[in-house]
Amino acid sequence: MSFQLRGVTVRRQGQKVLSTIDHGFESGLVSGVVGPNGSGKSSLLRTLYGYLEVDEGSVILEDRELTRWNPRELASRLGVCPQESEPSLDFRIDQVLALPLGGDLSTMKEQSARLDFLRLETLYDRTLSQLSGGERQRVRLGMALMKEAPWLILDEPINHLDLATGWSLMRYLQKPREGGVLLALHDLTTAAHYCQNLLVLRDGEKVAAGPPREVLTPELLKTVFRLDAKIEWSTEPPGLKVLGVEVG
Amino acid sequence: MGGDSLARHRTLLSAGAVAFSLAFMLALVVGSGQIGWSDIFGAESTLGKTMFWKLRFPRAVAAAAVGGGLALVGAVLQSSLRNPLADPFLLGVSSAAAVGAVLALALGWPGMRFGFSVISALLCLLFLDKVAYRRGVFSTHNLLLAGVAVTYLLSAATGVIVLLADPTRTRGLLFWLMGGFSMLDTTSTAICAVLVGVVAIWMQFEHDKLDTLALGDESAHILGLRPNRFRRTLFLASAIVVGLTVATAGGIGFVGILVPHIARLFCGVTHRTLLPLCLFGGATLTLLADTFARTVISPREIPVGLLTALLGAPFFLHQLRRGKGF
Repeated sequence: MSFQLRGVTVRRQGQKVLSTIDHGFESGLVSGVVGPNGSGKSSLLRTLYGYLEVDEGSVILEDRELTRWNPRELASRLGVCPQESEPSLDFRIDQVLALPLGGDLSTMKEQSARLDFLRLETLYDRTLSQLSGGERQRVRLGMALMKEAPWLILDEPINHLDLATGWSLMRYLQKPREGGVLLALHDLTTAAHYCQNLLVLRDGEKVAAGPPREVLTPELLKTVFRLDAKIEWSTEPPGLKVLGVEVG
Repeated sequence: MGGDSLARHRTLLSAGAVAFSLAFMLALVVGSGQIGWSDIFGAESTLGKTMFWKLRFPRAVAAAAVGGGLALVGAVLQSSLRNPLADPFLLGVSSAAAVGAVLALALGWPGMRFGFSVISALLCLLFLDKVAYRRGVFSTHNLLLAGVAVTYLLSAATGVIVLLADPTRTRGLLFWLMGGFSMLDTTSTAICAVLVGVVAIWMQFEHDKLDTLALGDESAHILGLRPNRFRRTLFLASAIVVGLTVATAGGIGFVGILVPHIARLFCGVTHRTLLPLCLFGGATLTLLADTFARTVISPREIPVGLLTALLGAPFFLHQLRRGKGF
């Protein structure tokens, strides 16, 4: 089973945000999408969950083109955490968390207990406007993980989270599942430690892909991330150290 | 829905139903001329009987349908556009409906005003919908600004039609524009009430989709709802309600903002309770306003639209000042 991009080009407001990307995300792996700011990480994820329409090429989930999926069915296969919250009505948190489950509050509470590292039950009685950035992120993640969807697409999942919550999340994502996990990450150390596979983007183009140890080289850091750096790999976490950084 | 919130849902809806029933009965009982039980249900036709069945009863039904419909549409537009200011009047939809209705009246075809106003309301929403999409992305900001421009343009058009109309019709037109229930006929009231009811039932069935849409377009998409398609369906339903209510009662403003805002204070933002509460609340408010408007300086009448504006505008400014969007 896989999630395939075949020659995908996406334009927004006349500008190419992704150009002819061919890539496959395999099930059973945690895959990271990395790249500098504006390289197209979020656009790539949005294309995968169908929020951005493809101008050329196609997106194929489990051997079926994305546009041929019934929206409800697709929503049950994908657990998605977008990067930012949109302006919305001031829902109470328990109501928001129950939305992916069709408003079923009792199932929502069972699932929240399973996702204990997000401590969602402490937020139930509050409303969206009363939350901090980190609390909002916990709610977004809660919504994405609520249905136990086989594929997870999380855009910068550990943004705004405190370290303990972030690491618990990354450990949770390592558990075996039917589909795969796709993460957009800006922190290479996290990406190297927790992802089995990386896709590197620059200006909407695929630059490199493969296991972190093969992909993250001093040359790549220099050409893609504008970093003059030494890299030190270790068997102990965090696995990768970027040393002696000079911005060039 | 858990036990607590289900109980609360039932309590609020019961309270709404009781308030509505009381306001409806009050509207039937209060007024010039004595009407007894024998007039209402008796076999022989009396002046009282005619007054009750031809005037007071249809008028109460119309006030309830118009108020309930406007509050419902206000709530739905605010959620689907995620803007607390969204309201049929602010978006220019009511102005469009008014142009249609005024045109029909000025041409001396009062029976056609429903068709005219529904069609022009729909055209207006379709136009706004088109303006709101900038390069495929829905922009609430664009929509509201376009609404303001459209309102001015259409108000000017209405003014021109009134000026050019037969002078004998001008006074009636102006009074109708201010909003009121004094020129009703039974058939059109029935049509209005039935269609508002149908739209209300449909919206109630879609309450979970409305919740999803209120969370944002991208979130709705992620949860399996295609926001643009659903919003267009909502626009169509809203145009029908606004067209019918404006053709029935002219420009009754602020019900669409006032009632949903107050209702949310009691039931929060989820639509399962919000929609019926708006329906009851809008109907109650409009029934009370109309009863007051036709009795306080009887035999003359205050246009109901002026009354709701006097009540609604300060409340609205107060909400704005507190900066509490929803």
